[in-house]
Amino acid sequence: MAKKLAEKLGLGHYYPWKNVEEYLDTRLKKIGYSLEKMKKTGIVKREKQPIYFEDGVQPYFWTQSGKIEFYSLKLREHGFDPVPKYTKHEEPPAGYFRLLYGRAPVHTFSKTQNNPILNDMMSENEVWVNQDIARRYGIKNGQYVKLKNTDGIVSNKVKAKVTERIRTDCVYMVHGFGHTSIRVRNTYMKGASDAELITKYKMDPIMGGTAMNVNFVTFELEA
Amino acid sequence: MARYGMVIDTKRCVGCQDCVVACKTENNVPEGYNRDWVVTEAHGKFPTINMEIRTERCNHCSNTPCVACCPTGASHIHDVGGVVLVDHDKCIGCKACLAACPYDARFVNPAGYADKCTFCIHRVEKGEDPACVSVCPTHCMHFGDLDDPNSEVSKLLQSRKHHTLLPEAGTKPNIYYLT
Repeated sequence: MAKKLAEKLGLGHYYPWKNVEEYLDTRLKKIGYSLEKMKKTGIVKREKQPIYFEDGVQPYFWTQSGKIEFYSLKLREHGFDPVPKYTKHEEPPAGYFRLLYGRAPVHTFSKTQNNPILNDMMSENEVWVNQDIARRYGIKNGQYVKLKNTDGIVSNKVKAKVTERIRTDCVYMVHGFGHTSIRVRNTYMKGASDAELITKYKMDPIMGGTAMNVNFVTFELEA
Repeated sequence: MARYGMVIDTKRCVGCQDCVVACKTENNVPEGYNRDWVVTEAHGKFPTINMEIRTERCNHCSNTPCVACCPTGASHIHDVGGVVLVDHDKCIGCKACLAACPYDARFVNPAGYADKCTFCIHRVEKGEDPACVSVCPTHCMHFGDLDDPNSEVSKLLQSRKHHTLLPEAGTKPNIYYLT
């Protein structure tokens, strides 16, 4: 199915095998096995091989010199600065805070919030606010606030967590909350979604990695 | 006699609450209640902050206010390992033990009796670790006999700095936290 979809999208050349059997067979042959054998045995037990530096493996780096390169020949070849220079990031406008997002160990992305046991332990996310900032805005621990980003998007209400565990120029929240589908009953409209506030992103000019901690928000206090 | 206890390494705990989920599923703890929980304590001012993450539960104290105050003898000290248990059939749900416990470790089960951590005695008597200890992904929890000087828990206490919760309450808790 993935192959058919890829062909429709003009990406068929990434799928050079005829069907999934051939694909699996190709991969199994790489470790000296085959699909035919696998269908009989169902499981392969192999010798454990060391994979980490601690296990005594000689580290190898995929660079031209085979070492960690502070001066990258590859970057120079492609016309980039071989020793990338630090460029200062954009600072939030006055009264705004950088929106950081992250994960909680309890939940996996945005798909486990409705699970009764996990929901029982963490049913909504909080926005972490530094104590000094909270005092300035008159935000109390546990108070509900809304966040508004620089594009004017306003979030669902979210509990403030007043803490010393965050910088004064940032706020933080756990990703995966603020579900808007009424079918996920346990978690419907609980907490705020960081994703809806991320209206901007930045892309690394060299390897194309995207940065999403680049949005700025301010507090909208409920009257 | 054995004295069962736990030694928990706060330097390794990441607060993932796997222990809480394990307990809930192992012991069928009703929704909205927990026999164990995770506390995160932060002291200081950003950026110099001291933090401790602890998984807490009944301390299975050696000096037990909950057993002393129980009018029916439901709260009792088990023959094996000095574990503090509640006999559900004897408990009348009077909540005296809830008030007596300085750790807030007990709750009234909707079925009508005082409920709390049992150190998973049903597992321990089969030679297994309590559910919370067995699932800990950072291996920060250790269970064993504190009266045996050669047990893993005793050795950890000999080699590391540690503290208990509310020692001033005089309950002689049997859960130790390594710092």
